[in-house]
Amino acid sequence: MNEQPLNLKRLHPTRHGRTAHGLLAALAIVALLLLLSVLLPLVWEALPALTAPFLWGKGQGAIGPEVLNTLSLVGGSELLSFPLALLVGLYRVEWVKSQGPLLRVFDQFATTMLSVPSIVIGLVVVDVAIARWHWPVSTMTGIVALALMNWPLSVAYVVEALQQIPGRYREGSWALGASRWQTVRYLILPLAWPQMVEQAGLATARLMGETAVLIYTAGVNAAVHWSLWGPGESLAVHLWLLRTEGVGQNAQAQAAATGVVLLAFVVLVLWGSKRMAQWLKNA
Amino acid sequence: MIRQSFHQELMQLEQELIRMGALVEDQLRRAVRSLTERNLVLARQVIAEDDRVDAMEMDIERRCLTLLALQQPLASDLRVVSTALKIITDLERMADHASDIAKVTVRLNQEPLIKPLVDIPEMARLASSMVRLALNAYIHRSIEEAMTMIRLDDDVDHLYASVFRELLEIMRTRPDTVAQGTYLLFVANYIERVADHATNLGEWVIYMVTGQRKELND
Amino acid sequence: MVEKRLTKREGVSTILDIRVQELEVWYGPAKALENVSLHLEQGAVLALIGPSGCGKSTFLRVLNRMIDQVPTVRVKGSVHIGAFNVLDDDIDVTALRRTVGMVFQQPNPFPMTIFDNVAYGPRLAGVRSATKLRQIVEDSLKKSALWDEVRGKLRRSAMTLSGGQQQRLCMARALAVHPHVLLLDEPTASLDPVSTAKIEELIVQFKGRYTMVIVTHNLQQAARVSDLVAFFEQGHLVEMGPTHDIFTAPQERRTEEFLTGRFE
Repeated sequence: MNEQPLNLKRLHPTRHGRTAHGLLAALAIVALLLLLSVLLPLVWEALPALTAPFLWGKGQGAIGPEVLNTLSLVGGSELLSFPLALLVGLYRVEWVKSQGPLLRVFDQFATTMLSVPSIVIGLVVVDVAIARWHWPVSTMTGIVALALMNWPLSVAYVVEALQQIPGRYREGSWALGASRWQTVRYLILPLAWPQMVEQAGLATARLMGETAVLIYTAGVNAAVHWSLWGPGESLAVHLWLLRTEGVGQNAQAQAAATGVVLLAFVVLVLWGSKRMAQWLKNA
Repeated sequence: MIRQSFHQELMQLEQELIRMGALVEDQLRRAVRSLTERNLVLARQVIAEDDRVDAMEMDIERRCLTLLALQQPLASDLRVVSTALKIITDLERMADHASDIAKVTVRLNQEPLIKPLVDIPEMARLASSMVRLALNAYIHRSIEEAMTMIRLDDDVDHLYASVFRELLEIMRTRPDTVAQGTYLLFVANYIERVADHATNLGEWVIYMVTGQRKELND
Repeated sequence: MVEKRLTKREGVSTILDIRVQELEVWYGPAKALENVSLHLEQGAVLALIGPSGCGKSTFLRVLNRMIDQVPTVRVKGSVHIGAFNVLDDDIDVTALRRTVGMVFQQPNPFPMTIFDNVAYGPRLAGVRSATKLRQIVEDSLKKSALWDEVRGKLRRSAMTLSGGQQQRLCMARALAVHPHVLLLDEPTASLDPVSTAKIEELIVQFKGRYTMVIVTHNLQQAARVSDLVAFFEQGHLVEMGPTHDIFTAPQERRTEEFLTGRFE
C-alpha cells in the first residue's frame, strides 16, 4: 500500500460537520413526520367514536371493562414480577461473590429467557395453568403469563441498575462496618431506585401493548365484574379483535378510539415513571 | 537500573570530589616543601591556589544541593551526597591550613631556621598520606582502609607532642627564637589539624558505606 | 471484657497495637503474602512501600478483613489488633471495622449530602438522636480539618466538593465511628500537591491518637509521615524499621536497590 501524505487542505472538518448535522436533522424530521402521519389519521378516525358512553358506558361496545382489565393485568403482573426480579437481581449482584460457572449459567439463562417469544410463554401457560391446573381463561391467568414474560426483562434492568453503582461505594460502606444487607438497604437501593422505576415504566408500557400471549390466557371477552377470575380482555386485544373480526358500522372508528386510549395510557405510564424517577433522584 | 541519569550525576560528583581531594593533598605537600626548601615562589603558588580549592568546594556544594532538591536521593545515594557535602568542608579546611603553612614560609622569608626541620616534614608526610589513603578508601568504599588510615592519626599526634616539647625547650633556653618558634609551633598545629580532618574523612567514608556514624577521633 | 466496659463508660479512646504473625495469603493458587510477621506499637504510623503487586495492599486489607470480599482468598497465620483476633472466623467483623477505619485510594464519598456521608456510620451503629448526630458530624469534620470549609453547606451533595475535600470527607466519615486504627490505601494518589500536604498534615497530627498503616508509592510521603517503614517485595516483608534508618541506611540489599532506583 502506498500511503498518501495527509493533505490538510483537503480536510474540511467544519463543512463535513455541518453536512452531517444537517443530514441527521433531516432524518429526525422525516421520522417525526412518519409518526405524525400514522398518529393524526388515527386520531381523526377515532374522533367520532370517542364518546362518553363508549369510554365508560355499560352498553354494547363500551371499552370500560377493557380499561379495567388492562390496568389489573399490567398492575398485577408488575406486582408479581418486579419484587421477584428485585430479589433475584439483588442476590445476583450484591450477594454472589464468585465469578464462577454458576453465575455464567445464570446470566446465560436470563439472556435466553429475554429472547423467548411471548407467544411461547403464552403456550406454556395454556399448557400448564389452563390444561393441567384447570384455571379459567381469565385476568389472573393473563397476569401470570405477563409476569412470566416480564420477569427476565425486570431481572435484566435491576441487575444493570445495581451494576452501575460503583464498587467503591460498597467498599466505603463495608469499611464502616455495614453488613451487606445494610449496604443494600441504606446505600445501594436509594441510588438504584430512579433507574429501576424508569425501566419498570418502559416495561409496563410494553406489557400494555402485549396481545399474543393474552389471547389464549386472558381471553377475548370482557364483562363488567370485579373478579380476577373473570374474562380479561385487554385494550390491546380488543383493538386486535375489532380490527380483525370487527363487524358493525363503526367498528373501525371504535378500533381507532381504543388505540388512542391505549396510547394515552402508555404515554401516561412513561411520563409518570419518569417523573417518579426524577423525584426519587432528588429525594 | 532505572535512575540512570541520576546515577551518572552521582558518579560525576564523586569524580569531582576525588579531584578536589587530590588537589588539596598536593597543596599540603607543596606547602610543607616550600617551608623546608625556603621556596617563596612555591609558597605564593600554594596561597594563590587556595582560591581554586574554594571554587571547587562551592561547585561541589551546588551539585549536592541540586541533587538533594531535584532527585531526593535515598539510602546509599543519600549517604553519598550528604557525605560529599561534609567531606568538602573538611577538604576546604585542610587547604586553608596548607595555605596558612605557605604564609609562614613567606613570613619567615630567608631567616635562618632555629633548628633543622625533621619531625615537621615527617608529620606532614604522614598527614598527606592520610589524605591520600582516605581518598582511596572513599574510591574503594573500604571500611578497612579507612580504619587503617585513621590509626595513623595517633602517630601524627605523638610527633606533634614531641615537636611541641622540643620547640618549647628551645624557646625557653633562647628567648630570641620565640618569634620563629611560635610560627613553627603553628605549622605543627596546622598539620595536626589536617590529620584530624583526614580522620573525619575516614569517618565519613565509614558512614557512607555502613550508615553508622562513629566517632573515632579522640 | 473489663477493658471494653471501661471504654464504653468513660468514652476513653483506647489506641490499639497491631501484632501479625506468620501471615500468609493466597488468591486461588497464587501466594500474595508469605510468612509476614510484624509488630506495630500503639499510636505509631507504619508506611508500607514496595513495587506494585508486592502485597502491601493485600496486607492492609487483611487488617480490617476487607480481604473477605475476594472470592478465592485464603488467609493463614495470626493477626491481633488490641483484643481482636482478626482472623478468627467468629469475630464480629462489624465491630472490627468500626475499630479499624479505612480510607481508599480514590475518594469515595457516597452520592448524598455531606452531613449524611459523615452520619452514615453512626446511623448504622444506631445513633438516632439528631443533636448527637450533629455533634458527631461537627467533631469529625473538625478532626479532618474540613469543618471551616463546609460549615453551613452540610446539606449540599458531597459530589460538589473538590477531590482533596472529598478525601478529607472520607477521613471524617471514617473518624465518625470512633476508630482506634486507621488504614490508608494510597490516600493521596489522586490528589494535587496542596491537598496531599493537607492529608499528610492530618496523618502527622493523628500520631499518638490513632495507630495508622499507610500504603504509599510516594517514598517522600512515607518519609514525611511515618515512624516506621516496611518494605514488601513479592509477598515478602523484606525489611521493617524506623523510617530514618530505612531511608538513610537500609540493611537489606533489595530495600537499598528499591530506594535508590536500582531495582530491576
